[in-house]
Amino acid sequence: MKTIKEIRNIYEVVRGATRAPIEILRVGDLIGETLTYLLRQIRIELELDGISPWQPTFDLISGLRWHWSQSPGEIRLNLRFGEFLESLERDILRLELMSSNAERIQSVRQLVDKLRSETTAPMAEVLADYLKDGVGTNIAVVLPRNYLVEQYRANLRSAFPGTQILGRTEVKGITPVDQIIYLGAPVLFGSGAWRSPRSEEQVFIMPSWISKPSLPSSELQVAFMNPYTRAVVHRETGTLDLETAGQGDDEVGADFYLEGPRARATEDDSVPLHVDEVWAREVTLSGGHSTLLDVEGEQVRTIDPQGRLGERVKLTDVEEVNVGTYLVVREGASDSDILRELTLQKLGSNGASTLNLHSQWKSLLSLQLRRHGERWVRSRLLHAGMRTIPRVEAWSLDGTFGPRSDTDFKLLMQWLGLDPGDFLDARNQLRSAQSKTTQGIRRQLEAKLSQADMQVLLVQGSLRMNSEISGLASMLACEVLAVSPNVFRVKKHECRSLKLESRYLWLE
Amino acid sequence: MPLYMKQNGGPAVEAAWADSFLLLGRQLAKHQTDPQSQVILVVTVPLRDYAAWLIGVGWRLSKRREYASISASSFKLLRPGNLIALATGNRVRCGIFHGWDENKKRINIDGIHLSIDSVLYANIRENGIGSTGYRDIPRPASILAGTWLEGSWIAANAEVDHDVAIVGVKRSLLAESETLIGLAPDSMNALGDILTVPESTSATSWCATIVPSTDGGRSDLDAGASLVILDGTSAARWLRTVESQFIVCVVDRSQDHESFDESVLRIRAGGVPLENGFLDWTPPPGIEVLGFEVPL
Repeated sequence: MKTIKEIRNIYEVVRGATRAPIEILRVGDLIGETLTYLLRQIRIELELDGISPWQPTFDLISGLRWHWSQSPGEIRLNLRFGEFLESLERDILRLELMSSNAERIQSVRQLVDKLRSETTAPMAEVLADYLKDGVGTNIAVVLPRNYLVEQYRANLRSAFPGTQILGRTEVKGITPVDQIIYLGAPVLFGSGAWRSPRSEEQVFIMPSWISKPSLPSSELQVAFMNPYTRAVVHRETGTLDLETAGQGDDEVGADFYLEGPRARATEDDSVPLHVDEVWAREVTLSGGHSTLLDVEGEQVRTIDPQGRLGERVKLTDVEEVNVGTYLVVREGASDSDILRELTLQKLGSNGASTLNLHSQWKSLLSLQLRRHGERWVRSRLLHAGMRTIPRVEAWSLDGTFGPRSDTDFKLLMQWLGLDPGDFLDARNQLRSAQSKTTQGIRRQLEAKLSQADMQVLLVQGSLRMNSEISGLASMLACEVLAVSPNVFRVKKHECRSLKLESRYLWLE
Repeated sequence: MPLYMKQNGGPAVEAAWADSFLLLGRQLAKHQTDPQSQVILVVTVPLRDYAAWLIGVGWRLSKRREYASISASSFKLLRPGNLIALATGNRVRCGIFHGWDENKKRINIDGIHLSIDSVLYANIRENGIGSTGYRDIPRPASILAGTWLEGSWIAANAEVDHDVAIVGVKRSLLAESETLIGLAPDSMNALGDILTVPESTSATSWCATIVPSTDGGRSDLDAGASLVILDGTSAARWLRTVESQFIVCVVDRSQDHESFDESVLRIRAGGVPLENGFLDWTPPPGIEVLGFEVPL
């Protein structure tokens, strides 16, 4: 048993520690807010219609909302978010059968669609901004869950060296810091300000759906009425009418706004694609990157970090790329750009003339397509005796070789008014060189991967594979964090190249 | 006026922190609530020591009880074999009633004859609850000054009741009960003198009970207890089963309680949050309170 004097001293220390200024950032969190709205809708259903089977769903959503606020990004990473959306869909179907209020059900359905398009973790974005501002100062970030610590540490170490990342139970032991940031909904116990060291300032970054009466009392409750509360952050959420955000608060300080969800909306597909356009989805990658994947593309290079040595590099159907897939992408250029560059190198001095011949028939085919349209060209080719289904649009693009069969290729050349001989040779040379290049790249990648520590890829989510071969110098293996459900048109060359999206860094 | 605490053999130390817990108990006892509702307070503290006791003592100091005054005719109702507690000026004696002599105005308990005039309060233990023997009534000290208990001290020391139940580690709680508290270093009572429990030495009367955490789910726990204090998360797991009007959970924040946090929030989801200050009590820095009311 502690002595009364010891107990008194502990309370005195606690009293001193809570005098640091407190800043509260309430971040508009689309997912949390949408879940709040869903909760309200379901509660209305329960009360009005007395539908008891909905109670488990109510509990589920309530728990998920809490979980989401505690571990921003985690549900999506663990694929639990997808499962959740599926179960929600099932429940909405049940609700449609049981309830008479079609309008409200429709609004619930719209909200679920909104959730599907959400790819960012707003609280993590705010944290990133904060850390950027605080570079050079001594900052500690306290996470609401201990098991998140290793993951965050790995991601933050390179971007913000010196920042301490702590689990809620580790706060007690650290030395004084300039600023301590608590991330997530205020944890009922454990992250109370009393436990922090004597920091100059304490910041709570929490979802905006946390309302005043729900907060634990004392520090946070007091802080809401405290002149130290400096800023309230909201996030513009597009068309979503959020009744819950900031409801009834006497907000203190300046508001500032973040952008809405990044994912582009699905475009109207009634307008046909231009010849150099493709339909693509946005794919969010680890390491603060993103890329565009052509939805009708065939295969993309991926890595199986847990595969056997020599069998880690694979070609995966684009349709199968999902959260958790490791894509191989190059900074600044697409996969096809690399291939073309290396194929030309392999062809040596003949490269330019071979490529020139190959481009000639493509230009003529493009001309026919522009004049008569795809359907006409295709029917003419079939009429001329082509045995494979003509993919004329694709054949007209760079990086393709035309019909696979030599007979069909000759037929195509003849239909274009060309002598097939030289063109067939050029096509075969290019195809052979590219095949060897592809194998070479694969060997190079396998060689790099055999030396690389796959744990780095698994923990950090990305791995840079430096190579002596030009073109492979800036290749990266990145984990897919999210695949947008929306499809939009892009230039073909925009696909499969790596873009830097620091705003996504904290999805990890 | 400062509050002092004193452990056995130690000096009296000013304990301002303890005042907050006493006040919480006091305010809670004054709070009127719908009988169909249950008020739950989750109190998180940097250190759990004494918090449960202090809240219980605060409750006791404010929760006024009425005791019927004794009269000679009362003894006519007694039958030999009844268990009875008699409070005299400085002692509570509990024993089997053998009879009384109306002429000599004496009562026979366990073969001991007591003058009726010396009996200030009698409590018939209809259910035969309580051990036989006697206990000296402690001298009322400064902590009782101005409270209802000051005027009813003798009667209160003869009653058998358990208006308060503390669920926790029994050995630690009993050890804490011996610590003294008072508004002056030279005028103190033990915590266990104010909130008497049957487990304390030679208890012949009590108003509270201590239940080990392992027994927190027993059905009779809240039979009659208006306030149940769950001391620590091992006790707090009974939160859902206790049906008393008021529950206070005391949780030490130096430990991690993720699953408990979530279970509390789930219970709260079915209730109404209580605004900070609803008890006219604001937690001091370092103590957090989450209050809500749920239907019973």
